[in-house]
Amino acid sequence: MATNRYEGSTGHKIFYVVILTPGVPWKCPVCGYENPDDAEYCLKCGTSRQSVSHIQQASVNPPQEAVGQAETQVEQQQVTVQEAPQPQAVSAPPVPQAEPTPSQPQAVEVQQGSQAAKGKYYLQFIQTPAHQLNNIKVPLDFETFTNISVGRSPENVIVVPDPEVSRRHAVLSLENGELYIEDLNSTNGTYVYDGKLFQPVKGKQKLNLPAVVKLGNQTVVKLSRE
Amino acid sequence: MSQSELRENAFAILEKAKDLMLDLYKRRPHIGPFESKRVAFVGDTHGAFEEVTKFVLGAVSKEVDLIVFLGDYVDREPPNGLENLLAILKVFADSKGEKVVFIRGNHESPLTNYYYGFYDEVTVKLGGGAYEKFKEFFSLMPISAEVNGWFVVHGGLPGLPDQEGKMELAIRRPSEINEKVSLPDENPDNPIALQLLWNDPREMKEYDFLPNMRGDGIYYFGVKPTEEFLKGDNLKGIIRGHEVANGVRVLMEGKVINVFSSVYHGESAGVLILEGNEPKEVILINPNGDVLRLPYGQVQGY
Repeated sequence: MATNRYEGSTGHKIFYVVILTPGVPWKCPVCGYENPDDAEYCLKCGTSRQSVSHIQQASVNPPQEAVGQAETQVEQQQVTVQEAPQPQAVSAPPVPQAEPTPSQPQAVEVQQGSQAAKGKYYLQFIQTPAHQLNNIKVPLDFETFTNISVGRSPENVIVVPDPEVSRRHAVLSLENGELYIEDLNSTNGTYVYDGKLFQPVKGKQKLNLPAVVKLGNQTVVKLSRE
Repeated sequence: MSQSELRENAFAILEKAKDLMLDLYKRRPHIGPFESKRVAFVGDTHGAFEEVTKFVLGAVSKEVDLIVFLGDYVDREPPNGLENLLAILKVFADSKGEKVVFIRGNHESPLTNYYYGFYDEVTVKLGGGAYEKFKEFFSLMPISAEVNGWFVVHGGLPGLPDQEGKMELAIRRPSEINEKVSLPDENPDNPIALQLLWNDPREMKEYDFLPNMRGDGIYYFGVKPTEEFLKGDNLKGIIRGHEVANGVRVLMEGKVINVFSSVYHGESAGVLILEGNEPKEVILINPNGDVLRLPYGQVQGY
C-alpha cells in the first residue's frame, strides 16, 4: 500500500493526504522525529518506517534460528542494522557467532554519518531534445517527494519534454540511503550506463552514484550526490 | 544567370578558395595561431545567408579585424547553403585569408549532406555531379584553429580508449592534431577528426567522456579533459558551435563558449566578439531581424 499510494498521484496530492488524514504519528527510531502516519520515511533523516519493526525484531528475537545458516543470517543482520543504526540494536544481546559482527554496525554507522554529510542528490540533464535543459542540474528533494517521478506528462515531479519519454517513465526513490530507479513499463525503456554500454533497467534497480541514466533514446541524465 | 553560368561562377570561387587554403595551410588540420585585435566568431549558420552571414560580412566586418567561422555553413533551413558557403569563401579568397578564417563543421561532409539537404540543393542549383567538387573541398578543410589564445573547433575534444578500454583525452595540445590527423579525410574517418567535428561539452566532473546520443564514436566530454587540454598550451578556452543555443551559451565557468548563428531553431543567432583574448560583446540577431548588442558579462549561463 505504502509505495503504490503515491504512484499516479501528484506532489500536491501528497500534501493533501498529510493535511486531511493525520492518522497515528510514528516516532523515528534513529533521530526521534515525530512523523505523520502516511510518511513512509522519516521526514527528518530519511529512515524507512519499516525499520521500526526490523529493530524490534532484531532486539526482541536474537537469531536463535541461525544455527546452520551462518552466512545468510549474517547478511540479514547487516541489512537490519543498516536500516536502523540505533543504539538499541547495537547493544542488543550479542550474536552467538561472534565473528566480525560487532565491528560491522559501527562501520555502517560511520558510513551513514558521512553520507549525510555528503549532501544533496542531484539530477543533471546531459542530453534532451530541449537544448535549454542540457547541463541544468535539478536537486532531488526526497524530503518533499518520497518518490520522484520522471516523465513527459506535467504531473511528474521532473518533467522531460522528449517525445520518446513515456508520460510516466520512471520513479526515483531513496531507501535506506540508497537511490533506486524503477522503470514504469516505459515504451522506450530506461537504461543505466555501466561504463561501456547502457544496460536496460528491469523493474526496480539500485543506482551506484554517480550514475548515468538514459530515458528512451534522446534523453540522458546524470544522478549524483554532492 | 543560367545554370551553367552559376555553375562556372561557383566552381571558380571554390577553386580559388581551395588553392589559397592549400597554399596557406598546407593541408594541416589545425591552423594558426592567429592574432587579431578585434575578432568576430560566427557559429553554425546552416544556410542563413540573408539573415546572418550577409550582415556579418557587411556591417560586422567593418568593426572587426578578423571573422572566424566555426563550420556548418550548409544543410538544414533556409536552403541557401550554397550562397552562404560561397559568400564566406569569396571574402576569404579576396582578402587572401586576412579577413576570414573558416574551419570545417560536421555538416561539411557526405555523412550529413545527402540527408540534410545540401546534396539536393547543389544538384538542383548547379546540376548533376556538382556536389563532388564540394565534397573534395570539405575533405581538405581545416578542422581546428588557434585564435587569440583560444582553441577554436566545431564540436569538441576527442577521446580514445586506453588499454583497459577507459576513454581518455586523445590530444594534449592543439599541435597534436597535426600529428594525428591527415587531410584529405572525406567523412572524416579518423576518430580524432570525427570527434573534433561532432563531440559536445558537458558540465560533468565525474565523467571524462560519455557516449553521445548523436551516434557511435561520438562523445560528451567533461570538465577534466577540458582543463587538461587547455593547460597544455595555456589556452584561454574553447570557442565552438555545433549545439543549438539562443545565440551564445557559456559553459564550464567560461572555459567553453558555444556560439550558434543560425535561424532555423527559431531563436537568436549569435556572434561573439573578442578583443585581444577577452570575450567582449555578443551580437544577437533576433528571429524578427532586430539586432541586440550585449556585454559578454550578461550572457554567462544564457
